[in-house]
Amino acid sequence: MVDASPLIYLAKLDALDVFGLAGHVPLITPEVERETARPGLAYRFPDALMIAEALRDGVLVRTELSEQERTVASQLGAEAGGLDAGQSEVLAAAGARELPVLLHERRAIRLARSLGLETWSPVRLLIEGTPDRELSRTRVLEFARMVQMRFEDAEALVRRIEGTT
Amino acid sequence: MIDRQQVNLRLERELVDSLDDLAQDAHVDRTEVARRILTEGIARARMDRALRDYAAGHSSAWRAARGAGISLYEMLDAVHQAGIPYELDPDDLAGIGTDPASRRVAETSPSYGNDTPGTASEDIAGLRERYRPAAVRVLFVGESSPAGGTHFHLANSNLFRATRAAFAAALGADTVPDGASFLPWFRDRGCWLVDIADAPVNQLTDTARRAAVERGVQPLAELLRDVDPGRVVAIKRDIEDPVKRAMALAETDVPLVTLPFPVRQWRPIYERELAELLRAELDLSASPSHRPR
Repeated sequence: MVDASPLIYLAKLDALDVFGLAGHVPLITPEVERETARPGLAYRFPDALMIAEALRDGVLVRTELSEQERTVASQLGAEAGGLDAGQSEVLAAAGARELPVLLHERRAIRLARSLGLETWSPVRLLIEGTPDRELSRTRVLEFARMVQMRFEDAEALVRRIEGTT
Repeated sequence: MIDRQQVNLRLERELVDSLDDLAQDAHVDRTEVARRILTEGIARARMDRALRDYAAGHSSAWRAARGAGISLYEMLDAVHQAGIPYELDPDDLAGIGTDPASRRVAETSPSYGNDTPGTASEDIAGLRERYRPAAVRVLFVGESSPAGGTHFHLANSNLFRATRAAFAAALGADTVPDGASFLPWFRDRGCWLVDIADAPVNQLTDTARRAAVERGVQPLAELLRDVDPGRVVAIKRDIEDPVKRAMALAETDVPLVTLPFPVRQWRPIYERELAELLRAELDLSASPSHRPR
């Protein structure tokens, strides 16, 4: 289950192929689709078009929530402060289907872990879904630049990619 | 009709004079100027509050975007511009495998032959040779590999997806394999893609980019003499002239078709024009009699 922010970052990196290469089928909830690829966004944000095309081409897979998942999503949204509609849907569906979640924000990651869910970050997916080591390094450094990652953290990631630690 | 309420404010004389000055300049009345300034000021204040909440971890980027009245795309850009740092999760770092060989690599459609997509150990030049047909019926000429590291021959680029979609539109989705399996299928129909520039050019200046393409004219001419294709398809209007010059050098007069590079609004045009070409002039529905090497 994929949240909106990491999906946008991966689209910005032209790295939507990482899901398949890491062995995952990326599922997108209706709220996440609305936030990232609703009609009209593509005129201003080319990455929205890329996400819409990935949905059309089956690189990303749209999934509907069951009645029970929608109820749980509403409860999570009401009870967990700071959680948004997309994250509520992602956590509710992942919990019901026992799937890992791709999240970017620490608050949502902490909540997901407290719910017993397996969490993935864009960094981990970029590394594990990019077999080419040089490309992996390029993508991670570009991601680090986009999210203003601390230099030491970015360096640690590169060392990890290069297998020196 | 706009619902407006009357609000009385007591303002300093100096502020009122400034408002009048701006109003006179913009040929509107004092109220209109005050309204515009308030609108802009409120938008800025909402954005400041949203960024503060996000930086403090009180809200997600999405919620912050809602609070600021903007899209999530704009919010992520604003977070970047505001320099709000991303804290790497230590558990995340620990969870990343160090052995690239242990990374899971999934092949999406193993139904066609024994070919697998390119790997780190095989560079683009190697892949290009791997997918070279024994006899080239259609030579597709691209500008270069993208600097982002994706490539047609890695089955993960925009060009790959658009080309595969055009073949599917022309020959039927059931006929044309998906994923990396499309690459050997494409080859076995006598189709081959090469780049005129031997290194990524999409992050170069215009001048350097043109020079890199220009350096590829002579090698392309030699390649054209060598493979003697039945048709050439140039992908990107900007390389049409260099491709024509290479064809002239190679003394070949086979038909040349130029298509736009398939990104953004040009993608449907690329797919439509290529599909029309495939339907109208080429019989690629069956493998050629000569087997690929």
